[in-house]
Amino acid sequence: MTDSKIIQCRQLIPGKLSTGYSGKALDLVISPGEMISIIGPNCAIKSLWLKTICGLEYPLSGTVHIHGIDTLNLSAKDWSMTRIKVAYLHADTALLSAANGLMNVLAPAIYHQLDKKLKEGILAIKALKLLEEIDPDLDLDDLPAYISKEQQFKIAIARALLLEPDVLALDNPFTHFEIDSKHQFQSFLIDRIKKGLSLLITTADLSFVLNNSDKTLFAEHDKLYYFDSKQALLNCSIPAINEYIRLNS
Amino acid sequence: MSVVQIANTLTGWSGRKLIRNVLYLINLMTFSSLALRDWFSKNQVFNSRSYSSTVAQIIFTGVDALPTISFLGLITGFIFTFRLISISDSLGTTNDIIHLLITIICLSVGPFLAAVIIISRTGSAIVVDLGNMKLNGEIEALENLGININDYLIAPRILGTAISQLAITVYFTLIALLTGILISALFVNPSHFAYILKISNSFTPYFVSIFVVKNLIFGFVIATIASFNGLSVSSSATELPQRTTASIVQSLSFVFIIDSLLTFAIFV
Repeated sequence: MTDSKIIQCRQLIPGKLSTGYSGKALDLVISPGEMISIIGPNCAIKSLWLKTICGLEYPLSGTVHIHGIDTLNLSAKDWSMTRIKVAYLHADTALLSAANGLMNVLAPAIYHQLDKKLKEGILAIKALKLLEEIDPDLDLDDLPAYISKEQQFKIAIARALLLEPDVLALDNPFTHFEIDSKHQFQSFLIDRIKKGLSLLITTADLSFVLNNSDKTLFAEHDKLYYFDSKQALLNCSIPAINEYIRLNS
Repeated sequence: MSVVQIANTLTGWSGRKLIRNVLYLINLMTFSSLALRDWFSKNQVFNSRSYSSTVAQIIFTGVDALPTISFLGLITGFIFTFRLISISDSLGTTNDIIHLLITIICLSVGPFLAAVIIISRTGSAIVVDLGNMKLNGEIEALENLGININDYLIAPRILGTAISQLAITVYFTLIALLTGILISALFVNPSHFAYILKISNSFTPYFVSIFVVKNLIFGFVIATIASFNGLSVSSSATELPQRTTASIVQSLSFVFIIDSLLTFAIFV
């Protein structure tokens, strides 16, 4: 187990890609405090790459190692650990419908017995502090059915972060956000990255990607392009990517 | 259609039905075994991991059902216990009546009525609850957080329902026996109060163990079938009522079959 490689993909091609895929296989290392973005015109393809990198989809070829453990050969304990360490959320990640906001945040942490590791009551205080950081105006008393999608997603984020993941994998996270709250939430994510959290994200928000991303993947139906800097992405001569940047800028 | 073709059709149909039922039984047993294995492998009994789920299940199944169970217990006490005791003089010895009461109220009517209530209340609630969780993506979201569904959702429901079945049968049996004895003593013969002591002295360890095992099996089977059907919901809300109905019918069938098998094993 090496701390500098949280996720390591070798020669990875997702299993559910259509047979027409002619692009390169992906070699990628995700280290602490890095932001990796997956952009492109097709949401389903981006999501597929994201889930495969997280070890949630079987690859057609190649391997994914999370903290040095091959995701194709996970024991029950390792499976649980990898899911905690690489937290995957999409825009409509469901909360427990029978529990209010705070209980939703606490339930997985209690299941993983984080309350035993901390002093009594500390877990709840930690959860409230985290929720305050994400959005001070979150409604924590009502059931998920009575709060907005944006608030539901923020609670889902807090639920995942309370488990102290190394990588936060977000699939189109800004779908339900208003402009102002989106910027506020993006600031929160950037702050977390500075504190060592790695962010793997699919989004159509190109300015967020260009301003913050360390590595960028451009995924098309049949191709994948890898850029290790903002400049490399802006200077590329591939027409599809230039067109995508022009349309989304 | 020739006779051979008709025979083939009939044997083919019955054979397919038999194979389907056997496979269903194997699926159920595997499902419950995996749920309990995951639960026991991770938990000390009732620690915080799934403690609250188990307690919630016991409260819903055992405590919230008490008004209904009390009402049925009162009615049963009047119909069975009171009638049997009041005609005891012409029916046989006191011991015969006590044996009859224990056999009918404690070992047959009590567990069966409690099972019917649990099937209709808890069983259907479990199917709808788990089915909706699956449809809403709640189960997938929990799994993505490293939560084992067997350990977190299924085992507490199975254990909670089994414990509740036992508890509400005890409660039902007490009410049914005491109501009948009380009415009989007040309106027929005050000496019938003695039945309270006589019946309580007749509870042998053998009888108590049969009572406990039978009720635990009923609760276990009902919750397993309900959970299995709840998780069988895949993509459409229209599956929910179908799975709920299937769960009720299957649970009733299993309760009848298990009751018959246990009766045969104990009394024949």
